[in-house]
Amino acid sequence: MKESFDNKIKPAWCNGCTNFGILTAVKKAFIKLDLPANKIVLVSGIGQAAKLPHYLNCNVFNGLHGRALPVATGIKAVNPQLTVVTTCGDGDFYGEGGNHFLHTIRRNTNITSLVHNNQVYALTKGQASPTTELGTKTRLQFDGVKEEPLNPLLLAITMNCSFVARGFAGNIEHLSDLIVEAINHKGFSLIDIIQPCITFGIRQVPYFKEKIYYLDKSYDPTDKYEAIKKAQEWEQKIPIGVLFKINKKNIFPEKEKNLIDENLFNKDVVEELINTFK
Amino acid sequence: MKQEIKKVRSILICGQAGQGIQTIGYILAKILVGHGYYVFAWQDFQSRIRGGESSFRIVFDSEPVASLPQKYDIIVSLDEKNTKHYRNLLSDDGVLISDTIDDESILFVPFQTIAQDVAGEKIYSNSVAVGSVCKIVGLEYKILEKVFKDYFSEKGDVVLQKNLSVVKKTYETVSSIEKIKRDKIEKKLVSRILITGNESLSLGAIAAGCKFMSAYPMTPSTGIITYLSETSHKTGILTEQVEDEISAINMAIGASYAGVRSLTASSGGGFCLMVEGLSLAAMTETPIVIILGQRPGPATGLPTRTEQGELNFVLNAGHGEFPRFVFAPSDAESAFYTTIKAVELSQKFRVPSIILTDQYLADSYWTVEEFFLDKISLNYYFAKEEDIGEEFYTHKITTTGVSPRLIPGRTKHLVITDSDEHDERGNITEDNEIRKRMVEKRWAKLHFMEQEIVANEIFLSLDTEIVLITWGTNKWVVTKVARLLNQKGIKAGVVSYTDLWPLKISPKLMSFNKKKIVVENNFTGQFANLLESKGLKVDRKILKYNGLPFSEDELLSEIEKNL
Ligand SMILES: Cc1ncc(C[n+]2csc(CCOP(=O)(O)OP(=O)(O)O)c2C)c(N)n1
Ligand code: SF4
Repeated sequence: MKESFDNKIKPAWCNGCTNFGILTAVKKAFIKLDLPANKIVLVSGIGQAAKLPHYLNCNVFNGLHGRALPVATGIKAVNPQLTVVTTCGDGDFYGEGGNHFLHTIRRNTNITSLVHNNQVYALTKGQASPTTELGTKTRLQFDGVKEEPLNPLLLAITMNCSFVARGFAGNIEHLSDLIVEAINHKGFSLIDIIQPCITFGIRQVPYFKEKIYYLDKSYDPTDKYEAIKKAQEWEQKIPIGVLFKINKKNIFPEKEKNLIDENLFNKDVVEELINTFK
Repeated sequence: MKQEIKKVRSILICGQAGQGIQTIGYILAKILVGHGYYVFAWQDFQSRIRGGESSFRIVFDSEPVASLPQKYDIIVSLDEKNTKHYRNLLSDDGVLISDTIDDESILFVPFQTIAQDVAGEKIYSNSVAVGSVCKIVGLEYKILEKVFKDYFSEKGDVVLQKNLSVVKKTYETVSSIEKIKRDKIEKKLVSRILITGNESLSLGAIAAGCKFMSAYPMTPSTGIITYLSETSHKTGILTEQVEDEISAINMAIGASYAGVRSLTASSGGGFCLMVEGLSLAAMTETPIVIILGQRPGPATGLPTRTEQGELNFVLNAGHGEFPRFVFAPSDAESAFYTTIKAVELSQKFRVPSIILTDQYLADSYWTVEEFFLDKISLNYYFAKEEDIGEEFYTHKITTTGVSPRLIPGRTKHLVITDSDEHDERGNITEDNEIRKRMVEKRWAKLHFMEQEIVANEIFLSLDTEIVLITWGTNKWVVTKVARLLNQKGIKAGVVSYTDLWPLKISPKLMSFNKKKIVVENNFTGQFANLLESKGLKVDRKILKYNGLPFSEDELLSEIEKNL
């Protein structure tokens, strides 16, 4: 019996929110991967995007704003057999959790991170996020955003992040394939997903539909310098697909060893260690 | 130069950071343990890698010791500035050994010259220092030799032999230049354990079945993850040095959710960053142990010094209301068992356990008779698949407030939890009725948690005129001072706390109606205030907050001042 991953919980998202597309893509990806629900853990922070794990059937750790990555890392560390995926907003992941983002790239934790990039803090009602473009006006940034936006893909590529992709919430089939590829990739996989917010967003689906194009076989994602160029395309046209991919020697956890053990107390080992102090 | 020294029971080795006083001190401590003494050594150092003033202070006796005198019987100084800095700590009939100043009152031993002459290199001068002390105290060369063999085993035979020949020469030189009446050493053949608080806490974590530790370095707790890393090939523990303490606690929580006993450690500053995570552990009912090595604050404070300033903080840390355990071990032995208890109880009740240590515990060397491993019994607190119905409820409401736990991926069930208020299944909810029930569920545990707590430990009878109350590592100095008071005819009892929260006050202490003095290392008397809030009248607080531990003499005179 194939799992459908559907559950009965009604999402608290606005009608027509592009997060629904991501939810469908995630379920499709899990079905394509033929993963049992009990072997998947979805970890999230706080925000609209971070509610996603509740809306499908699998293990869920919905933690604190910004802190999905360390929790996901801890889970993967002790039970590498689990498929661990984070779902967070751009504020959650690049803002509050920015430090963990950098260091997870370095650590190369074998997990997949989906960032629902709506370029806004939706749950707190429309403030600028780290990816909001310069000059964008919000109620709080009433005279326009004054900081340059973060380019997460460019940052990740320059840091040799082992898998860097951009998805589009408006193309479920393509996105689910990307997620499959990311999960199958060994190492830390980042998919930044264009997820226009219909309530607070500046730019909507039609705008992006016009700008995006899909990277095809002629593009070589192992070419770092090409990838750096691609990651900087945004104003005129926006590349979708795997921008950069690299197999790295260091991976976390180093050993595919499950640390869960019912035998809690190993007397011999403790005794041996105690003897070193005699 | 004084010719006689009564009985050596304390040694202070001082020098600049980087000169190796820790090595000298550690080797001496091992030699003393080898003679059957109980040894305690406290490290007084500055937050720097080279230069400055630092000391390694050893006390030893045929009975357990772990408190410091004001003055020392022997001071060994490796540098002139340190001699000036520390010589006022020399007892009236003490001996100051130095190779820098050669004046009347100093026993001049040419450390560097002996090292150069015998071994051809000045780096062996620390062995001259060790040899001088051993000779003066009358310690046996054979035991010294054994300790040297263990210590230098990795460095090869040449290095060992050079060190030993340096010592031999020192034995001859020192006795020829000075006649000192030596203490009688009664050698006992016991192999006691010499261990730091941090090492003992680590052993406790290992014995308690911990398999994951994430931490960010911060004095005085860095030694814990260091030890667990160094021994991980034996224990199978996975340690990870992370980007910050926020990551440390969240990662440990992730590992714990996934089914592995895990911990983190830091000092006050790092714990500040963990506080939101502490609240997460409480909300998701994920067991977690946090070791907080106290040092003087606020902010960076005195990084390498000691204090008991975080009691109020750990009792109240975390937004929202939730139950927790707080412990403060009194020494290395207590650190071992307390860690096991903290881990077990955190697992049993799915609440956070915090272990408060301090620099005095963490960095000091303590003598432990033996760790009784047969005393250890651990429970595996996960439910069996067959005992769970079709659907699993991570936060199932029960009479004890404790819900059965499952490991994600181990059974067909899904394990769901949320930092948002959640229903029994673990899904986010904003239903106010469920919220109310969940709050009550989390607090239902408290009553059962209280039953696990030892009210307080009474060390000296309370049929007395005064009782000295303290917590954590101060147990030792307070007990020693109480004994001194009793010797002087002032009847004093001692109560010391290790299980701090949930707080229990024994009826015996409650009904003690004479003078109650609380002794602690902070400015506001946090523990005294806590006791008062529970209805115990405190007559006097004796507080110290300059970053240093109480010495016996200072505490004694402070108490006597106002009897
Ligand atoms: C420590 C902390 N700070 C602030 C918040 C408030 N907060 C909740 S979600 C959020 C931002 C959400 O934006 P994003 O992560 O981009 O997700 P979105 O809602 O847009 O999907 C903020 C600031 C919080 N929950 N915790
Ligand atoms: S506010 Fe925006 S992101 Fe949030 S649910 Fe509504 S449309 Fe989606």
